[in-house]
Amino acid sequence: MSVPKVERMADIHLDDYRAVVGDQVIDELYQLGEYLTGKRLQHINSTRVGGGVAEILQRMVPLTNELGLEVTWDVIEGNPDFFQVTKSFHNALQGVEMTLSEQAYEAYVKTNRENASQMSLDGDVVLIHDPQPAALIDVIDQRKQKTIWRCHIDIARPNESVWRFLLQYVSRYNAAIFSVPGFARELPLPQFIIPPSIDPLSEKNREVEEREIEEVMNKYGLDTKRPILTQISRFDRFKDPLGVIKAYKMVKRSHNCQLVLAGGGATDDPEGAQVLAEVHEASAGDPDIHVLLLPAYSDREINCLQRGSTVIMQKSTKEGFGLTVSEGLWKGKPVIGGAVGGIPLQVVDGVNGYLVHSSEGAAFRIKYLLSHPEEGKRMGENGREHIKRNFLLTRHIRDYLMVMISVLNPEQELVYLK
Amino acid sequence: MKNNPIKAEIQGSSQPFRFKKSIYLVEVVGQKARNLSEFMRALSIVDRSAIFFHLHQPMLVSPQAQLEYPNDFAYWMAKELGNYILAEKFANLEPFRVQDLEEIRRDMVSQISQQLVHEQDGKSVVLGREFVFCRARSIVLDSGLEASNLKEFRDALKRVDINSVYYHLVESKLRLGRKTNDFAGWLQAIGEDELANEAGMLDPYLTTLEGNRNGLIKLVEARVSGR
Repeated sequence: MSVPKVERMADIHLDDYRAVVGDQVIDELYQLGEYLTGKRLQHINSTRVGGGVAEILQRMVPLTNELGLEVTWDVIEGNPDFFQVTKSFHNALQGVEMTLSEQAYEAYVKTNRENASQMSLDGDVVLIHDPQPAALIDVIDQRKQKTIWRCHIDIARPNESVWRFLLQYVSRYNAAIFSVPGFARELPLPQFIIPPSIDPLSEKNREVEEREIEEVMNKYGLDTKRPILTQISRFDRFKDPLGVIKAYKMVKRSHNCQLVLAGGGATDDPEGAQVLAEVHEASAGDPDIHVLLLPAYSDREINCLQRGSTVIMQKSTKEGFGLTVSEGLWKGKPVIGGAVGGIPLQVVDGVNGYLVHSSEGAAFRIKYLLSHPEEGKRMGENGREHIKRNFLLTRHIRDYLMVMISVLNPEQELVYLK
Repeated sequence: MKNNPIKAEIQGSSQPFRFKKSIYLVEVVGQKARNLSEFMRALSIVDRSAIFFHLHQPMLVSPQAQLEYPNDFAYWMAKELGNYILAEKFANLEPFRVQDLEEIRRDMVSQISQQLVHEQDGKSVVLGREFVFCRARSIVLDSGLEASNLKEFRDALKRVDINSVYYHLVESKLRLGRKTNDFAGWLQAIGEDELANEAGMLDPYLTTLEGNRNGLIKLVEARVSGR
C-alpha cells in the first residue's frame, strides 16, 4: 500500500512543476499571484478527504499559497442526516426523480447556519464548492466580500424542485463555475467554465521507471510483448465495460491482444456488483481478459498499467468529465473514448485518439491503431501536449486566479497586468 | 489593483518590441442552440466577443495540431448536427479578410437562412450536445521578452510563449481592432517596410499557431541573412 498521498505530496512545491510544464507556465502563475498579493481566498467544501474535490484542494491550496495569496480551506461539518440530505441533493441535481421533505430542506438550512456561526467567513473571495455549503451565502457580507459557487457536478437536467430551492442561494453569488459549458444553467450571474485537472506529480501520473512498469504488468500476468488495451474505471453500466469486451473480441480475431478492465473492488453498490458479475461472465474462458479489482491507494499501479498499455479506452455512454482520459493521454497513449460528457474536450478526434459511438466503432479504431503503431505513437505525443496545455493542475490554479481577478474587476472583459 | 489602459498596450513607433501574451477564461454568455433555427437566432444576437471566441478557441486549445475543422461553429455543424454543407462553409470563413466580426456574423446568418428555406429546423441534437455560446475574459501579461532589432526579434520569437504569438498576430487585429497585426506594425516602425508587408499579409488561419510562429521566424531569418 502506498504511503498516504498528503504526506508524500507535502514536499512538492510549485517550482517542482517547472520541469513538467516549463518556466513560462509557472512564471505566469507568479504574475497573477503578484497582482493578487495579500488577497485572501477561502475555499469551503464538505470533506477533507475522499473524492475528487478534496484531492484537488489538498494539492491546490498549498501551491496557491506559494504565490503570495493567503489561501485557506475550511470544511463544513454535519451529522449523518445532513449528509443524507445532501447526497439526495446530489442525485436530484443530476436528474434523479425524487421528492424531498420539508424536514430535509430544514436540516440543510439548519446545518449551514450552525456552520456559519462556528466558521470564520473572512476571505476577500470565498469559493464554495458544490451544493452542501451553498447556503453559507446567507451570512457573507457581500458589500465587502466576493463569492463564487463552484459546481463540480452535471446539473444540466436537474430535478426542478431541488434546483429551485438551491437557486435562492446560488443566484446571490458573484459568479459560478462549471466544468463544461453544457453543465451551465441560466443564472443571473457570470458563469465560468473551468475543467478539472490531473496532477502530473501525483502517484497516479508521475513518471515511473520501466522496471516498475514491468513489475506491475508481470504481477497481473500481462505479456508486455503483445498489445494491451486498458480501461480504468468503476464497474458502472455507463462506463460500458461490456461494450469494451465486445470491441476487444472483434479486434481479437485479427490481433493477438490483451484487455485490462481495472477498477475499484465490488462495493455495496448493488448495480456495480451486478455489472461486475456480467463482466466476469462475458470474459469467462478468455485468459487474455484481465479483470482487476484494485484496492484503495492503487494509484501507482494504475499509473504503471496505463503506461504499459498500447491503447487506453474510456468507452463511456454517459460521463461527467472522465479524467481517466487525461491520465491516459498524459502517459502518451492514444485514447479511444465515447463521445459523451467531457471526453470530447480531451480526445481531439483523429489527433490524439478517436471518439466512438459503438463497440464496432471502437473495434475499428483499435484495429487501425494496432496495425499502425507509428500512428498510435504520434497520437500519444499529441495527447501529452494537449493535456500539458489544457488539463494539468497548474492550468486549474491559473483559472481560479483568473476568476478571482474577474470578480474583483467585474466590468472588464480584458484586464492588463504589468 | 492596477489596470493599464488599452492605449498603453500599443507599441510606440521606435520602441523595442515588448512581447505580451493573453491568457483567457471561458465564460458562457447565455445562449445555446439545439438545432439550426435556434443556432441562427442565437448567432444573430450573441455578443460579438462570442463569435470571436468560437472562431479562435480550437487554435488556442491545439496550437500544434491542424484540426479537421478550424472553428467551433464548423465542428458543431459536422460532428453534432451532421450538417456537412454548413460545416464546410463555416470552415471556409476567412476572418483574415474581414475588418469587422459583423461581416462574419452576416455571412453565417445568410448561409444558414439559405439552408433553412429548404429544411426548416433540421435535426435537433440530444440534450447535453447543444452549442453553448461562450466568450473569453482575457488577461494580458508581459512575457518578459523584448527585441530592439531583427535578430533579437527572431530569437525572442523562437522562445516566446505561443499565446504571445496569438496575442500579437491574431487577437490584436480582429478583437482589439488594430489595422494590422502588432508584428507588422513594429516592423514598419523600424523601417522594415517590405518585411512588415509580408508579416501583415500572413493569414494566421491557414496553419496552426506553431506553424505561424515558424512562418514568421522564416521571414525574419531570410531578411537577417540577406536571402
